[in-house]
Amino acid sequence: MARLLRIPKMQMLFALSAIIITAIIHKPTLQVVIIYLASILLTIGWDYFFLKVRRVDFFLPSAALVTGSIIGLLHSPLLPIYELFVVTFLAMFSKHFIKKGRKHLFNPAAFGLFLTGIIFFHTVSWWAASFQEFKIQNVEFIIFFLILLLPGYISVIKLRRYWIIFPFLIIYSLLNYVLNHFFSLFDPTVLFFALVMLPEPMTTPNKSKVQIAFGIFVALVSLLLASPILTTRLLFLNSLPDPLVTGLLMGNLIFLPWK
Amino acid sequence: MNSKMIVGLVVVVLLIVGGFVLLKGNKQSPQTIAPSAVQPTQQSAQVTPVSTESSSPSGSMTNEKAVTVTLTSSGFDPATITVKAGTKVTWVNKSGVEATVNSDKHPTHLLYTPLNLGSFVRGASLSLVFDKPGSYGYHNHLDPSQTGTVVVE
Repeated sequence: MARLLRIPKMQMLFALSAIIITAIIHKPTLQVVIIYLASILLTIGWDYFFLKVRRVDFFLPSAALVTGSIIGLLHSPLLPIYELFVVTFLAMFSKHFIKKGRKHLFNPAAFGLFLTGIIFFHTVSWWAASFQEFKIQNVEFIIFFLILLLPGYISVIKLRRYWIIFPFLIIYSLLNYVLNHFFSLFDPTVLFFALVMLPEPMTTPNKSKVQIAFGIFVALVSLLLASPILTTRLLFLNSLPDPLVTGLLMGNLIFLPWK
Repeated sequence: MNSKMIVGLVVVVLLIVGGFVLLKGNKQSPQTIAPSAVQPTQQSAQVTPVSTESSSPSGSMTNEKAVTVTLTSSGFDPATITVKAGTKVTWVNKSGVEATVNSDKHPTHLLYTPLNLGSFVRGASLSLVFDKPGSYGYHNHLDPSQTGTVVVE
C-alpha cells in the first residue's frame, strides 16, 4: 500500500478522490456517486477490453483510474448513462490506438469529453470543479478550495510540470482580465484544468522551453475559442464543446514533434 | 538561482497579485443579491423580488413582455425560451443554494457579457431585457451542468 502511494498516478487518484468527496458534500445526491463510480468502472472496463484486443497482459490500471476519475468529475451527472459509455470508450480508444510510438497523442479524458460533446451537442460540464470558490469568509469553501489544489502537489512538485502550468495560468489570467475584467487565477475550473489535465506527462513536451510555449499556446487558443472575436466570424466554433479542452487537444497535436 | 527558487518566487508573485486583485474585486463587485434587495446591477439588468409572472413552456414562442425562468436543483426550467426582442427575462433561484447566471462559454463568459448577471441566493431573482435578436446561451457558473438558452426573435 505504501509503495502504491508513492506512484504519482495513485497520488493523483487520491487527490481526485478528495475532490469528488467535497463535490458529494456540496451536492449530496446518489446520482453523482453512481455516475462517478460508473465512470471509473467503465474506463477500467474499456482499458481491459482494449488490452485484450491488443493482446497485452493486464496490469494495474492506474492511468485508467485517473482518466475515469477526471471524466466522472467533468461529465454532467444529468446526462444519460449511455453517454458515459461513449466518453469512456473514446478516452480509452485514444489512449490505446492514437499513439506515436509508446505514447498516446491526446489527453484521453479530454479526447473522450470533446468528441462526446460534439456527437451529443453539449459542452463539458466541469460540475465538480466549479463550486470551490475561494471565499475567505467561509471556512467550508476554503477547505474545498485547498482540496482542489491537492493535485498541484503531484503535478508541480512531484512531476515538475511547472513550466507548463504557471505560464498557462499567468497568460490565461492576465488576458481574461483584459478581455473580461475577471481575474481567473483562482477560478476552480481553470485551476483544475491547469493542475490536472494540462500537464499530463505522456502528451506534453519534456523540455522546459517547449513546455512554456505549450502552456502559453493552450492559454491563447482557449481564450480565442471562447471569445466573440472568432466565434462571431467562424460560427462552427460555437459547436465546439469546450474551449479549454479544445485548446488542450490542439496543443497535444501541434506540439507532437517535441514530445 | 535554482529552479525551486524560481518556482517559489513565481508562486509568491502570483499569490500577491491574485490576492490584490481578489480583494479589489470583492470591494467593487455587486454584492450577492438577497431576496429583499432591489437594486440595479449592470446595463439593463435588474434585481426584483420573486415575480408572479408566468413562464413560457419550454422552447415555445411567447408574446409576453416578461418571462420567468426558474432555477431548481435540476437546472433551469424552462431550459430554452423563445421571446421577442424587448422582452424582460427574470431568473428565480429556487435551487436551495447560491447560483449565478453567466453567459457561455464556461469559464470565461465572453459570448454575451450583459448576461453575466452575477450570483443570487435562494429566493432572489435576476433580470435582463433582451434587445437584439439572436441565441444566447448561459449557465450557472457554480454548477455549469445547469445550462439554458434564450432565443430572441
